[in-house]
Amino acid sequence: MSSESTTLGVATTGGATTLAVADTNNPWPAVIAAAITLVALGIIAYFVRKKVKRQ
Amino acid sequence: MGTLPFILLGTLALIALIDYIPYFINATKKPITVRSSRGKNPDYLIMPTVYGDISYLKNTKFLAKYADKVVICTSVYESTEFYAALQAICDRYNLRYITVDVPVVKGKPVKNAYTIYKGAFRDISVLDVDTDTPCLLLDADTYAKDSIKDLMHTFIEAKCDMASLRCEVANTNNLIEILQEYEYNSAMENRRMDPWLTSGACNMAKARVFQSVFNNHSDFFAGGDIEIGKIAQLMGYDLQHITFVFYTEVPSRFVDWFKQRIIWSAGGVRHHVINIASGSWYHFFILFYSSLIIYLLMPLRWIEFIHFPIAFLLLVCISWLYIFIVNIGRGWRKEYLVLPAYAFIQSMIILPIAFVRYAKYAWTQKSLGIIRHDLSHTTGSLILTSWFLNIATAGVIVFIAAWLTISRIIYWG
Repeated sequence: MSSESTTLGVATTGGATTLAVADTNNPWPAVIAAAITLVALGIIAYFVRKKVKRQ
Repeated sequence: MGTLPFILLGTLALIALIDYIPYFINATKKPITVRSSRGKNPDYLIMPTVYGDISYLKNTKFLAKYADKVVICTSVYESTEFYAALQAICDRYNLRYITVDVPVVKGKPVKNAYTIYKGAFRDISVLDVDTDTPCLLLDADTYAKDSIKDLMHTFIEAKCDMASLRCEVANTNNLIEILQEYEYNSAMENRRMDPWLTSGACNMAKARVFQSVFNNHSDFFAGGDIEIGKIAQLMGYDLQHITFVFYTEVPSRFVDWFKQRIIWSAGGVRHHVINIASGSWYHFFILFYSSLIIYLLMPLRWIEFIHFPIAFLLLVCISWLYIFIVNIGRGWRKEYLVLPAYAFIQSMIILPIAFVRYAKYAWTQKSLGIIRHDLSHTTGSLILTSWFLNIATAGVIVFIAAWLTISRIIYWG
């Protein structure tokens, strides 16, 4: 079983992540590229998951 | 005083909400509940494992209620005294047991629940059941209060291949037990969103499904329970979560809990870091939450904690607020005030130790515990696409983690 009550760690990481992005000189191209890539991969993954299912 | 502290607090509060996303998703998922059935007793098996020390077998009174359905599984590498004690228990409660061969690495048998189950399912005819017979795997200290017969009827009617089951804490007397109870309940609620997260304490599947899954199992001890459900899902089997409650004992002392969590987190390192390119794209939330935030960005947390510790004080307050909100209508306990510290120990102290422990396991077992699965029922193009997704998603997540961490090192340096 994985740990579920990790709010403290998650939020700290998230906070640091936000600051890291904010401190980077014009981070938006990288952030948008990563988001588009993940969404595209997510769409492919959705269809592969459906196809792999046994009937 | 500027607005920066408020912006920071608001940002942290918003990001901390990610822990509660599963609550909202769960609300949209209808769990499979068990109803009492008057039908005929179906064919099924209850299969606890015990090895090494017979005193681990603690649920004999529960097993005795279903004696004709129980097969205790153990290895062929136990002592004469162990077999004598096991035989005495079986004679007393009318149970039966089987011994199975397990892999040997550097002259030492690899004895764990997964290698034993792999041996048990190698030849289903030894178990004397049909290929579709439901088999319940459970720990030697796990038991249920409700009827197993009803559970079996529900599983058969659900027409699924495998099911995760609800596992709750049997002993809730002191602080560490109460905190674990909170965590178990929260984790079990999330099984509605992720039924493939099979607990080692109890899970069930058709015999042929377990055979197929264990044939692909890495035999790795840490995280071996979750691997069962993960492989089953990657291989296209239908997994559901049934809210049938089993009770299991949890560590009663802080030191025992700490040791157990190192092992659990070592399993997490294996699943979320080492196997990040082994089907993690099946679960984008967990890929983002566990692989990226919890494990890969652990160094970033330490960097921020050292340079900006005041944020942690804010987070403790946010954490209390959220825990209080989540528990409205469920009952508040003063022990929950310790939950932020409980989370801190796990995400900041245990995690680094777990990386070392994983390396130790890998060295001992001469295996990295890489998750493999059989996709022979699909097409070549689907296998190729899966391989592409493995590499692409892992690459993006590792890149994001490295970029953020390096960026903060440069900032603070």
